Amino acid sequence: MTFIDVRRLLTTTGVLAALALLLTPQVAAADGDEGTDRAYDFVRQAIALIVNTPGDMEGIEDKVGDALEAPDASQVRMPLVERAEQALEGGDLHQVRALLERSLGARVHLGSDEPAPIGQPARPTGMDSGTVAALDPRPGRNGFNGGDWIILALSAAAGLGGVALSLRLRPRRLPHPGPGPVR
Amino acid sequence: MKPKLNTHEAPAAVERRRWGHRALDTIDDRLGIKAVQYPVPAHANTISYSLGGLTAVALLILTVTGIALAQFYNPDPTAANQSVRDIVDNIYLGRWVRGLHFWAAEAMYVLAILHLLRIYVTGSYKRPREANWLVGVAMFALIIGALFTGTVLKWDQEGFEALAHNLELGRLLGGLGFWFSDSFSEGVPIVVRLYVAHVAIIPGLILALFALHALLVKYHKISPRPDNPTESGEPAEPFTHHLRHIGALGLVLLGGLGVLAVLFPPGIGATPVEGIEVTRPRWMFWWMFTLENWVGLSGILWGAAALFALLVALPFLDHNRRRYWRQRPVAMILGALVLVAIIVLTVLEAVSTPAQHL
Ligand code: HEM
Repeated sequence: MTFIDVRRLLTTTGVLAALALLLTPQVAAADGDEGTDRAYDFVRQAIALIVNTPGDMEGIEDKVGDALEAPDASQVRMPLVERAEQALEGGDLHQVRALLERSLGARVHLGSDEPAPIGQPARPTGMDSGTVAALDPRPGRNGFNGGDWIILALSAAAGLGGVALSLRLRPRRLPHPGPGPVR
Repeated sequence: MKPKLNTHEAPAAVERRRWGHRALDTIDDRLGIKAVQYPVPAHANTISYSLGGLTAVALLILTVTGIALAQFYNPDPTAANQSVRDIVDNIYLGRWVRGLHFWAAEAMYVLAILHLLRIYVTGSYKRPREANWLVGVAMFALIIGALFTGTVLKWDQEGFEALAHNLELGRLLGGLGFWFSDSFSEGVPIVVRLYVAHVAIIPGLILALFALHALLVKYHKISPRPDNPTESGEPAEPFTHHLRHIGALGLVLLGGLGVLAVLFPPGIGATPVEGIEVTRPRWMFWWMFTLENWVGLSGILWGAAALFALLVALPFLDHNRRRYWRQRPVAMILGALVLVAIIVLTVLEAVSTPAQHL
């Protein structure tokens, strides 16, 4: 332990503790907001849950329920949301999603190769996501074509060439006499 | 230097070589390029002492692929996610270039950490190299910043939630977090500002710091191997050979990343929607999220602040002059503890189900 300077360690800890005290009041103040009372947002969230976590039926039901109870129903065709709720009881997520999309005035989704965003958002500023109805996620790769094989072969060749070169250039016969006295 | 004459060579070949040397001399008179042939001890060409150079190669790959991607990426929030899908679907080689950019980013992060560990184990942060260690720590922070902003740019649910988290952190920081607030510049979508940070501010700072970093390495000379502090019996080679060596290793890196980009190109998530939390952050950030699960959002801040405070303080806390690892048991044990802690926290997040935080 002799090599660690205890005084400095204490100073550092002290500075950190002071910083902690400075930050704590804000830490306590910064919890929870993010509320919305707009059916429009709840419907968008319901669609996003269908798209991201289709297994989470409870979450989806909650959001649709929230949408139906939301005080601000502007920009949403509520009868379609009600039909979506009925469809949800039947368990047909595809139908639910399509109804929700239409309730926002968006086009019904086509699939994961969607050519364009669906729905026309207002001009986004700040932290607006700019999404009306969420699109499906897309996997990195679907299939393997001739071009893929060519790039794969070229990359592998470059890598192997690099290995060969590195082996040829690697330093040999480095002496290791040991650490020696401290200078 | 006169060209060596080989009497068996055809006169034409000799003439060519003379011409080559003359051309080199002409350029050297103007640009002084021969100055890069300064001698460097041979151990600089081992892999562990080439990790910094390889990090620089990763940065080069990121720059080239990033410039290509920037021609087709659109930072408008209503179009960003779609423009990434278009790069993958409709742009020639787009999927591969995007994959290369993605994997080179992972590689740069990992290589920078390995480089940092090399410096730690060989005690190369000690006098007189403390300042260069700090330059390195700053670059490491910038790399994390680049990873974060890059994640947000694709503007899918994952990137959006990462940003939402970050805005909360900005709020925790109070005035210090002003840049990360959507009210700082109200008319501009925040992703546009992150885009500017990702393509200009952060890489610009990394490049400037790297120039300083490299100059300082040259100024102090690469630290000798701890098991041969006087470099006795060790041959020296011109720096150009070191560059050649980095080039060869860089080719291995490029080839490997190219293969990964074909086999495992990154996907893209659903277009983002505010107010839900369904994704997991990128693996580099998992250890901090375990802390968040334990103590709340401020855990992220404390975790990151503690790590960087340790990194910054290291050269000033450690007064052991010895550089051979066996003679530094305290440093080795403490370093291993920090590393293991980060790994354990990372694994804990990996096996947990994503929690709602905001
Ligand atoms: C953008 C990231 C970085 C790049 C491109 C980079 C590049 C380099 C290069 C090319 C060297 C020459 C020797 C070698 O490669 O090992 C070097 C040395 C060094 N680097 Fe870095 N580095 C980076 C990040 C870091 C970090 C994160 C640290 C530590 C916190 C660091 C600390 C040092 C130190 C102290 C030296 C001198 C080593 C010696 O003399 O043995 N660097 N760096």
